[in-house]
Amino acid sequence: MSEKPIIMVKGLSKSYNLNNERIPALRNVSLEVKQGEFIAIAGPSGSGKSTLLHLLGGIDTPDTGQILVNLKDLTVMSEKNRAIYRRFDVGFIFQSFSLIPVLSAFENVEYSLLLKKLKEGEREVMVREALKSVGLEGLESRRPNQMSGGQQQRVAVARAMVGNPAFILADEPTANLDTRTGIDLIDLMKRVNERQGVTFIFSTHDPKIISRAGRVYYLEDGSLKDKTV
Amino acid sequence: MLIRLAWRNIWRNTRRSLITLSAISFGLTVLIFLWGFGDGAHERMVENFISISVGHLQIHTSGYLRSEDPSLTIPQWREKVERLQGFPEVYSVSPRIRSHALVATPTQSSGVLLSGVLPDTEIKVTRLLEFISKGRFLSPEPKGEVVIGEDFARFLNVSIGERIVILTQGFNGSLASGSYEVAGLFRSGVPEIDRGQIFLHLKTVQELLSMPDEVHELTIRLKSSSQLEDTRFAMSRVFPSAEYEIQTWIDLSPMVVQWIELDNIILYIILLVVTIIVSIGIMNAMLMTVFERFKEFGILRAMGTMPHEILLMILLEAAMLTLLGTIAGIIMGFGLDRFYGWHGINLSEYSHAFANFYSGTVIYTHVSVKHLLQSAGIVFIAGILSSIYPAIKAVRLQPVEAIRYV
Ligand SMILES: Nc1ncnc2c1ncn2[C@@H]1O[C@H](COP(=O)(O)OP(=O)(O)O)[C@@H](O)[C@H]1O
Ligand SMILES: [Mg+2]
Repeated sequence: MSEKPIIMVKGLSKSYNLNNERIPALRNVSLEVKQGEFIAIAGPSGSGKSTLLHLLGGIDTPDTGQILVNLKDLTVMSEKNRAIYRRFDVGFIFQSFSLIPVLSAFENVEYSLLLKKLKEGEREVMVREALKSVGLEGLESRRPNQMSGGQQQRVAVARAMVGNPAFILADEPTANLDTRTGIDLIDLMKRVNERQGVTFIFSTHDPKIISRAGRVYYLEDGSLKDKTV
Repeated sequence: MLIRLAWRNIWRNTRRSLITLSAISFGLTVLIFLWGFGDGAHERMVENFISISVGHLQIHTSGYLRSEDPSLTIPQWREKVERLQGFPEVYSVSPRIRSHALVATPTQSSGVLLSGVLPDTEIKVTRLLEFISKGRFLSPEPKGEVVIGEDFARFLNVSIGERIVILTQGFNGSLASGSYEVAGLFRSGVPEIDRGQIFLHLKTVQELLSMPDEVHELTIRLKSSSQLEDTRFAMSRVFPSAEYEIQTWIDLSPMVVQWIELDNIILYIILLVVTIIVSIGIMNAMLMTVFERFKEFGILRAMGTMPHEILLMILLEAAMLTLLGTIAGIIMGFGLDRFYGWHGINLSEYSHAFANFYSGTVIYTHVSVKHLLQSAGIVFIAGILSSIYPAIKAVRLQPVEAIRYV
């Protein structure tokens, strides 16, 4: 599984301004992710997991440090180019309620391909395939409010993976699910990872979830602790 | 997809959208109806005004209207009338002689405007025949008859069959007088005409004034009011401006148009008010929906949706909402306009102030296309413009902030 790294992060730091106080969220974080890995970012609440994922996803910019994705330097990209980067290279899965409520499961997944400017015929095939691989065949026309939390998250997985992004970021995707459903979701992600070679980086503070990861980065107060394999 | 998204988002909060929709459509309905009322009344007013006496166009020898010099006549008028009849827009032409005169009976006397007309053509140009309330109109051949206003007859204390004496200055400057039999009385509703104008046969007046077979004025009625300026222009080639003046009823009575414009100002103010209400309604609805969907916009942005696409989505949503309201407003407003355009609104029971002699007591609503489109267009554009601010709010949003607590 270990080939060339698709993500290289060096000396990443980020702090927030809160009432004129600087709150460090990430301190000098360096890491590497290889194609096809299944990586957990673990750490207690407030340790900087979301901040790290947002930086990797190009939704936010660091104070210092470098993020190379397929040798493209995110930190020097214009806002517009970061949007294009997010469109094509990143798949996002959020905690919950991240689907567009007025769109069906099919359309939610399709939206991701619309952004990638794919033609209708291609979209149709890819969306059906993606929904099938997350086990939601037959629920294509359901609206989010007609699905359970677990089903909604699976639509989110399908939406993130469709159109083959370089990697998928999932910020505590199981936080709002019960234990069983959460583990099922991670197992589903793991299957997608193994069968289709999609790279996953997900954050969590749940030990049962962490144990499913191929590799884990531990964050504490914004710093990486010795990594465990 | 953007259209689908916008459309579905409208129905996401059905109640709010319906309230917004009804505000737009109701405002527009009322507006269109009021325009229909105003336009209908004005149309009738102009129509009446034209057909009571002025006609659409009048031709005089240059300088006549200013000086009222009776010697400024139109020679060879028969030939000219014939040429005017040749214009496809012309319905009829009435040649007239005008003269100031004094009318006397044994007990009373009064100054009047004396009109010499050809009965056959005059009744095609004006509604004088309709206004005859007692007796009859002038005979086609000159028989020494006169037709006067009913009010005037009462003032003079004469009735049908009796005679009145007319004194005026003849063509050569000498005093001219004659005695004429009152053949009929009329009531037009316009005081200046009912009290101040009398009608005789053209020939009768020519004899009274000992003038040649010439006239002062050619009054023209067109088939429709819409070709006024074009027709005037076409006629100016036959009646060169060095010798003749061609005037439209608007030139002759600018007051009428000014009156209509003054009336319309009130409607434009109502348009403004409706527009402001619609704008506030749309802005409020769009602000609410934008604030509710902050997180959603954050996710869309995170996925790589461009700010301008979000902007477009919101504007599209507002445009659809406003368009729906506008269409509903047009349908209801126009329906109401056509309904009351057919049945009329009888105002006589409510107030005599409405019983304007030019517009009558029954108003037939008839909104002009211009005012209909203008109102609908302005409301529609206002709807879109007022969603720009909410849309910008959504665009300004930073995706990180919005999804922070997802
Ligand atoms: N917008 C912000 N303003 C101020 N402080 C923030 C902001 N976002 C995050 N932080 C702080 O940064 C730290 C890391 O937060 P976060 O990355 O959300 O951690 P995690 O996802 O591991 O819970 C926390 O101390 C948090 O309070
Ligand atoms: Mg977090």
